[in-house]
Amino acid sequence: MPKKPNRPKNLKLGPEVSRRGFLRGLGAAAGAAAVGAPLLGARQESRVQGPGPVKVALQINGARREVEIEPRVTLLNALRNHLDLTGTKKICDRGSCGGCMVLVDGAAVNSCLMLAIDAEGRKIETIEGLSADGKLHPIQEEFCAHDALQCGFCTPGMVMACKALLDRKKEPTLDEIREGISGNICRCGTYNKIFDAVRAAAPRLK
Amino acid sequence: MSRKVRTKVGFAGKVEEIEVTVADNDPDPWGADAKLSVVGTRVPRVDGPIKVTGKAKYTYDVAPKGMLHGAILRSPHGAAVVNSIDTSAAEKLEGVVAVHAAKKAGARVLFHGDEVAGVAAETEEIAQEALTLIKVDYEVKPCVTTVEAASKKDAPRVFENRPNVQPGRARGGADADGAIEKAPLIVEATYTTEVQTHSSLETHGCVVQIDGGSVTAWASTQATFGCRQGFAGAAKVEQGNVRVISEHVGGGFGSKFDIGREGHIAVELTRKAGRPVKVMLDRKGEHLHGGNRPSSIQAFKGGVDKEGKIFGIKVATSGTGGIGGGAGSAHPGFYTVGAWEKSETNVITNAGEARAFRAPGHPQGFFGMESFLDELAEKAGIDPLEFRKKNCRSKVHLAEFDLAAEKFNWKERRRAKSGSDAGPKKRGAGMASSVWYNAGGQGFKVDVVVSPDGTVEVRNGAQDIGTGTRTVLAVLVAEELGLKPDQIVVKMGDTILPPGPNSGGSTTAASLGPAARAAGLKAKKELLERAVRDLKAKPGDLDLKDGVVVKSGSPTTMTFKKLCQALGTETLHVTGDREKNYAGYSETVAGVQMAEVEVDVETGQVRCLRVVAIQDAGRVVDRLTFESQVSGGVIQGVSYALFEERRLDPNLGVMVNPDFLNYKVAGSKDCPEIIAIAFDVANAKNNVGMMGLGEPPTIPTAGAIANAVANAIGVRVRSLPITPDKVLAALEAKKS
Repeated sequence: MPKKPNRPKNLKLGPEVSRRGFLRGLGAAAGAAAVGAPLLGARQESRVQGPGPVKVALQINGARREVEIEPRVTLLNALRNHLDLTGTKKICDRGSCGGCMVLVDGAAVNSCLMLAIDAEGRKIETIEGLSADGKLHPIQEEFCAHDALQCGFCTPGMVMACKALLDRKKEPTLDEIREGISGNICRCGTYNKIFDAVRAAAPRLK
Repeated sequence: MSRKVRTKVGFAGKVEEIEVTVADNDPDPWGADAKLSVVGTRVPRVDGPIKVTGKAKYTYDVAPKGMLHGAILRSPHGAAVVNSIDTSAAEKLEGVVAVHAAKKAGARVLFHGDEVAGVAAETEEIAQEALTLIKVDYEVKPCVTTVEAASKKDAPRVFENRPNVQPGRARGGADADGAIEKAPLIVEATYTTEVQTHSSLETHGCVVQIDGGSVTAWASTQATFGCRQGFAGAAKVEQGNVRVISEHVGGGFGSKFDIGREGHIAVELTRKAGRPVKVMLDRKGEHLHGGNRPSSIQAFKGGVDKEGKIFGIKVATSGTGGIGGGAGSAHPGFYTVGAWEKSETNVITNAGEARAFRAPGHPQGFFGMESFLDELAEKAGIDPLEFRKKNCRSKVHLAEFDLAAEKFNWKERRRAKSGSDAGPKKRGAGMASSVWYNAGGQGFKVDVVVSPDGTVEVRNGAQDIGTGTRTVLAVLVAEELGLKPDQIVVKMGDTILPPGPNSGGSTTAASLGPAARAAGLKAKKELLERAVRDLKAKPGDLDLKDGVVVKSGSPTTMTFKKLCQALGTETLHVTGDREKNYAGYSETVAGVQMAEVEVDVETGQVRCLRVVAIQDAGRVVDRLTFESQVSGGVIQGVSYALFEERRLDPNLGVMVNPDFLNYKVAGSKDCPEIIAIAFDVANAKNNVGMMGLGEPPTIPTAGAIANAVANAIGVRVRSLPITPDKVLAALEAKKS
């Protein structure tokens, strides 16, 4: 990790004005299932950090993990590039595909739209946490059984979206499942199999 | 060298026996009457568990020690000359380790997204910031983005040394005009399609590591061996010193055959930095220069009579694949069309080049062809299904037409009178077909390695881009060894493993499957030879089934695991060869799809409600992954039919929707109910009877949907994607 970058003076990248902040609204509009916007706005205190690396303590899959990162690092990049949690995928980096979906305090969030520093003090669950005991979660088992994946690149985000859905709805209808994963894109076209997997997993999670 | 074998080919009710010439070391083909226990069942993907847990390592996830993050600066202009490029500020930014100017002063940039420079830095964030510090002075030039604009006499040339309009070779060669003039009924219609980007979810890219003279490259590719050659060229080393690894690939769809400019930039940055560098495209870069399906303009003219006989069809097509070529459309499929004449023109424009995209030329060509067949049928006053059957020369298609009609309930869903539904939402049904060509190729090898502890490993260096090749190989080896597929470990995607094909033309599984079966059979024979003495049996008496050795049809107490213990300290290592294809039942695979849509005539919105997809793939090895391939092809077809369109600003040449917010691909709410049915054809050709499946299921969907829309509202939209504005405009035009 380098020391403080020589940032040009005309670039204003303080905590008040950021690309991520601007994108919040867009992402929320695109992914109805992701409840990113209200969560992202929840951090109240205005503590000026950076621009150099700062220490951030994250609560991930039940464990406390410390990283030293620049404040501009997204939660997605922190997971992937600093914590070796590469199950969470970077696909669009603009909150419009759901590939980087994680649960933050139980709600599905596109981690590319959240700064890692904003995730401090929150409970973060990633795909790696779902089968931490070495046993597949019922949603994961049903994804395999119904072949609800092909290339598999959207799969971690899809599984997390389905988990968020089934956490809040015990018996979702087909339309509710469609709505529940409407913030997630699958280019191979596995959606119909995902519907089947969710319907099979639902009764097992009651 | 070879032997003659008689084998049963064909499909239910139409089985016949043929003689094929089989290489001596190749197993006898499985015929229509083969009794198989694992092949043809529903087998969950063997790499499912590591993909659903996030453990599968894609290129994007690889990070060798000391790795730097790369980023690419792209041209913001549709056409320009680089007057100067100054990378000094970027180089000075702390954390930046290497900068490479891909374009020098005086170089031309030909499209929005053309690679100008690359940066390698300690973090992604610093690399991105460094891009903003590279100063490029461009002299902006006029650009052309459409076939029409680029074809004008005074249009600026994209390449100085050749004209934009590139006529292709004429096909068919008949005098269609003469034949059409003799027909009592003549139809003319022009169909258009837009540029579609592949939009693989894992973008293109690689991680390059250079140690002295040897190169290791992790690449998101559908051609590990092709990329080995590419990286060898870029790094100026022999192929033998290059290893390409691609364990899991997040989709390719035809766009990932070579190392791309990003591969060259990664090599340059790695050399300069002296450390491994990862260069993955961002989503915008992927849209701009990650490949696309060319656009098309297809002008048809044809003649028909009241009995449905087609006298002739003439078609002239043009289209653009940006700075690349290949803007052709596939016609006329397997239909009998009388005199056939075709001309093709490729038009060069200022845009990223087209690349092979899932059945190149076919979804667009079949959209045009199948739409036109419906228009001919309508002119003749004949039901489109009957019309196709009258003009079909493929026996498999004929059988599929009937099966599709039954499963879809064509008579009920097809509206006798368009727009007759009450209310603003009108339903309609349409159909279309496909043909594809491949049974795989020869020259590849699959290894089977059996350890004394009973573990079985199957090895091939080709990649599984999500189609399920790993699973297919596991099933075939499991079949021969009497095991379950999940007891087989399949290692793929590494050029140190035996040679395999690039994943193009739907050939991977069918190229490797027969070699895997041959290797499995060889391993079985060698293992059973070791049990002959213990079991007091003759070699021909023993077999493997359900995990135990079977003697004269009865299970013995010797398990597979125990059998392997006889290996002692040895590891059994056998190789199966992919022999060349022999004569089969059919050179092609056949597909038929029927679609039901609902069109809201007030909003113009089209929803696809239901698709029945009948697909032949020769012998289906795994029915579960078969269904996924077909279903996925249909959904990509829905997306192509209704949503996808790369939009370039015609003046600036800039793509205005290079993301997933404004470039719309089908999502969960857009999926129809899909009934995917395998039409089993025993097709010899190779010892398994496998044929290609990856591409064909996406060919008919757009045509079927367009025909269904016309049936629903009584007016035809001849342009993809069928967006609400086009539907409303067509309805308006019908009124007046």
